[in-house]
Amino acid sequence: MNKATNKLASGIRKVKERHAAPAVADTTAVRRPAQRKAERAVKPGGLDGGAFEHPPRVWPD
Amino acid sequence: MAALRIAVANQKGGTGKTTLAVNLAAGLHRRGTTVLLDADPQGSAANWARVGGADGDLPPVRGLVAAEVGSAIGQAADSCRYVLVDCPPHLQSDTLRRVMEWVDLVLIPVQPSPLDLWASVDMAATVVGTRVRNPRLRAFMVLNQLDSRNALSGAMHQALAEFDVPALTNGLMRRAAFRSAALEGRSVYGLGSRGASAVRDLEAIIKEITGL
Repeated sequence: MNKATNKLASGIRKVKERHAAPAVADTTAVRRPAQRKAERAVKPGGLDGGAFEHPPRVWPD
Repeated sequence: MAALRIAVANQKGGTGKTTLAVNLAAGLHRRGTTVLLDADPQGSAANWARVGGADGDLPPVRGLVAAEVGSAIGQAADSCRYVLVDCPPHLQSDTLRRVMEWVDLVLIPVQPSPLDLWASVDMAATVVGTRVRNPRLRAFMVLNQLDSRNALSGAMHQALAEFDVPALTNGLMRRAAFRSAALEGRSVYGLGSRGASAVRDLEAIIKEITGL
């Protein structure tokens, strides 16, 4: 096989492999509002989990 | 003798489906009654025949819609020796899937380009999958627009061995006659000496597929 044939054949094999592979699971699943609320509940006072919008009202002594 | 039903299909546009279907139909028409069914919504084959009008040398060209695929191909096969179908360039098309269930042979034109080859992977897989419903279905890749000065053209035959669908030994060279024929609404057979080389290419393909 010459260089052009090798490149063409290799490209076809890669496309075939990609088509044969099972679909990759979506790792960027959308969080539902209820899920977001639950996450906020376990991180009270944190900078994430919504604490920035609703800071804990703790008065310093 | 039962009619030979041939579909010309590829999910990629611009591979030369209509050029192959129209000229193949004209060549087969010289051997026996032939009809060309145009299943492509763009209607290029029908337009090709329309341009030539009564002076053209093409066999009858009829439109084909998804709902009538089985009956239209069946009726054409009852009255003709050869039935050709120019398929739409969409693998998801109902028409294409139904056509493949009703024909004996699928020809898949591919140009000497990596993009054409990659796009044909799905097409070849679909043909293999269709054999569950149509076990008699045979399929071949047909090299189109070959250029003897182009390294990719020379490499194509060996590269096509990677597919589950084999390639015909004969293909079509890149020739101006095919464009001239469309311009005049004729096949390359109707161009006289201007189309002689293109006719030679087609005759080799016709001999190969009718001898299968």
